[in-house]
Amino acid sequence: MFEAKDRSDSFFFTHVFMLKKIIIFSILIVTLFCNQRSYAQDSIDVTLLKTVNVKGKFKNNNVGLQTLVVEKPTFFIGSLGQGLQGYSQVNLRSYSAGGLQSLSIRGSSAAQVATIWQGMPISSATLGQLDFSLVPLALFDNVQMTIGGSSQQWGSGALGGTVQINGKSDLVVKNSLQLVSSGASFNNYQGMCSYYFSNNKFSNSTKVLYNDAENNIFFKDPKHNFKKLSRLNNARFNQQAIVQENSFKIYKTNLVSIRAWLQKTDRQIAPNIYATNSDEAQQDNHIRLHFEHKNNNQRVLWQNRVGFSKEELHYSSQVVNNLFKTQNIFAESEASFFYKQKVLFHIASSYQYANVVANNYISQAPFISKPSIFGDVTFKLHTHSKIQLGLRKEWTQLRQVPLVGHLGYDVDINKYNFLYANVARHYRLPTLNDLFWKTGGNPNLKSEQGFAQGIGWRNSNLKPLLIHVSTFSRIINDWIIWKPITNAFWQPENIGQVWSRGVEVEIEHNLIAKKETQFLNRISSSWIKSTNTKVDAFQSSSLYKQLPYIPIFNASHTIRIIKHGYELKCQTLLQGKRYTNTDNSNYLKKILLTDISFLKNIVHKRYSTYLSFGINNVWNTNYQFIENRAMPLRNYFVQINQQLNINKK
Amino acid sequence: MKKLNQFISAGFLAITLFACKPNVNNDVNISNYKNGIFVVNEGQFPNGLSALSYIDKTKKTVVSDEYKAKTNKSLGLLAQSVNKFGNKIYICVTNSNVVEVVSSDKFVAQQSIQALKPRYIHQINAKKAYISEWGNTSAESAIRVIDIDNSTTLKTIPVDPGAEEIVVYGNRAYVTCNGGFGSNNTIAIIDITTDALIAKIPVGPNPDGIVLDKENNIWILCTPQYDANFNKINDGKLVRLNTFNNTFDKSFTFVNQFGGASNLKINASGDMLYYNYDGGLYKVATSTPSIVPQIVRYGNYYGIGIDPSNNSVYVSDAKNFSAKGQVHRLGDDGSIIETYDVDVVPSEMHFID
Repeated sequence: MFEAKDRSDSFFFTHVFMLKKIIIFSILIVTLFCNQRSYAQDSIDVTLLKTVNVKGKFKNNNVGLQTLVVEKPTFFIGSLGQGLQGYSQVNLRSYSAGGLQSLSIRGSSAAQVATIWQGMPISSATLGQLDFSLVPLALFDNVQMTIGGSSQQWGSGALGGTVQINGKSDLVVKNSLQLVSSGASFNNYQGMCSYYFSNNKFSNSTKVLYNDAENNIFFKDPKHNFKKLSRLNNARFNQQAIVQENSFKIYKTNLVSIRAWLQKTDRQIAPNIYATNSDEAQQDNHIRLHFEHKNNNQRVLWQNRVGFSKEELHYSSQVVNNLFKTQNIFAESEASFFYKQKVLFHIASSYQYANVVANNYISQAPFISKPSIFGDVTFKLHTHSKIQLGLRKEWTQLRQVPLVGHLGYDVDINKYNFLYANVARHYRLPTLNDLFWKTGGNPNLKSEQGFAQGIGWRNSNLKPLLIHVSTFSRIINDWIIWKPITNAFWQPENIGQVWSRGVEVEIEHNLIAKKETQFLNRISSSWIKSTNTKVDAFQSSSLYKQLPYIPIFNASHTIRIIKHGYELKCQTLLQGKRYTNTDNSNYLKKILLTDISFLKNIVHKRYSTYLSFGINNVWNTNYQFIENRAMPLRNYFVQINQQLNINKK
Repeated sequence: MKKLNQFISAGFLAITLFACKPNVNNDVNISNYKNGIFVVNEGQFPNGLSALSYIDKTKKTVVSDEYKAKTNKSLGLLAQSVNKFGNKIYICVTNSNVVEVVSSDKFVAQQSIQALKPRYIHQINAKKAYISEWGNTSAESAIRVIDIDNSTTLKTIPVDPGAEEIVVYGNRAYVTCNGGFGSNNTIAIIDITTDALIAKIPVGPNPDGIVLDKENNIWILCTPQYDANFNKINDGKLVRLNTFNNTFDKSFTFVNQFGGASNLKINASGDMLYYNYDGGLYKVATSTPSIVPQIVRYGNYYGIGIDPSNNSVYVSDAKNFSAKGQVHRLGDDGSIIETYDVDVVPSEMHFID
């Protein structure tokens, strides 16, 4: 246990994870060791993302919006944040090895990205954001991102976009066991065991994950004029998680799913590179339970879901000892049905409740209660186009919430050209920290709100070349900014207006050459300005300046060559300079990072083995995502993924 | 012969004139530091780097991040204070655990004194100086005695948590102990001849600023004390220690809920105190029978400096603590006379004659 107090007794993780060593040791038998050690959160094989028009789930059928589906490769143990990093609209801010990862979409703040698990919002009620370093991507089967605001669909917080993580949604007849183990630089060991069974009426999915990393990465030490390497201290990361999912088909039209996600993370907070040590530690524990019922009687699709979560965040250091206990309740019911095959109606209601017990809040146990009704209607104008109008109204006991809406339009201009456009109003409620933090919380804060417009065009004239260009503009008013009220105390106020706009270009080239050699090539780039257009006097120098840590230019290039069970993948990330302060007087230099991985797939009857080896940060770039927070130099990983398909003969 | 002499003299003169390069003085920082102000800039918390700005009062110019410009390295994390004595400038960089020493003429890096969360440095005599340290833990709070000549540590004197500012009167050094990472209510009194702790005197919650007035009384600014749930349990106050009879004979309580007074300074003549409180800059005459604060100017100022040469009041404005700040020189009526753009989060100032 790290320096923070052990609070695991209050959870039943202790008992559940007694099995962890047995599992891990059995998995890690085959683990190879490297002479240099790994950055727990960086042994990545960044996933390739694909732009799709999501169909099937009515709620995700967002007309006029861009939705990305994360294609999970066969080998990947890393955080959700790393999985999303390779896409130019997304900007991941990583606070060093094992540290916080926050996400910005299209120049938003981290609190303006909503994260949804099985339709249930899981962003922190206290901070308004999710720490993406804490979500292991391997635990989920399907990850999607909506680029651009979608408050109408998901309510408060989805101004920049949403990240949706889901398990298996259908009953696919299968019986398989998967063991994944990896060893990497910096004493990083990870293992996962998953078992999936399904027949036509019942499915079971069990995933257990263990991750431990010392994260004593090397960095170029400023105390030696960046000429000597030093090791990072106090960056240990330990995580245990289990996701259990069961689905039952009742008659032909009903599907009932029960899910549980338990997770425990202990980590030390690494020091700044100018400091010698850190005494900060953080524990994040949660239990999330989810029940869902779907009824599809061919005329109406009913979906009802109920969720409950209990979360603990304990941050401790010599100076600070903060404990947050949060409980969330979520219930939602929605129905979708066609009228004469040309009009799709979707109506829904939901209720969210969150309460927090914390030692540094004005109120003893502040809570937020949030009922809402929302819906949309989609008109199929003709065979190639449709238009969607959606509205959402929420209420809270805290304050007025604006009516939000969405108007989207999709059109297949011809066989090769697809155009989409949207205009929407969005909003975000203040977080409980904004409202109740002692001292400084401002109970009179209003919601952030504003309008966004976007248009996109996809062209496949030059197959196998796919070109996707999109542009957007978004203005958010009443942007919440914390300002000093005395030298020691700060208070949030609705004093900002931020205008974000940009252009995104993606080019994808997929080619299957002779002898079954497959070349996949993808370039993604974005140019995003996100500037203050209205500020208070105290920060007048930030007027018309780019928001800190939002790169104006961001690009990634991925190339995969696949042949006869071998795969070579090379991914390069180019991130332009990022300002570190509000008047843009200081900035971090541009980053060029390249990761290379090699995979061999061996199939023998029912057994498949994937052997992979990778080098991250090939050019040994000394870089930072957050000022003076060390990131790893060149590092390595090996991984073995063994799959047993029990049904296969 | 006379003509020859004139010819030779003219020749020498011509050679001399052409041989001399013009005395280009592009930058204030190649000359000695005279009639200026060093401004400590803490940097953007928690990851930004500190900087030392230099204001040339004569030329009305500012050199940004003078430390990095001259030493080619960054100052570190959370610089707290700067002082000059002898021919050296000392900069206490708290979170980098170091006191950086540079020459006072050309700003050449001399030494780096390793210290545990150093806060202030004060010259005791020609041979030694005291560094107040918070320590990495409250138990390590101390006064570090250093040899000025070679910057070595002569002795460490443990004091109560949060050793902060120091004044010297007679053979005694008075050190406020503000609790550092926690809370405390004492000042430490040290015999500067033996470097021994004489006493710890309870004075009030979290004593922070300390100054000596012209009548050799010591003024101490105490800041509010909060419990673990951030409920205020003790108000901040300004108290006077009468050094003649070692009693606290004056006191003024600050009742504001959010934060107390801070940045206690005194003018060169030792008869006027200045401090920040509740969104304003206040002054208090030391000689009045009771403490009667007078507002000088409204505004949240992060630092105060009093020019010892003319009693001019300077205040530092940290803006939003994420952008470059400013230092203002105030007139007698509190109006802003001059403004200098400095680095990020300007706080303490040190005036150079």
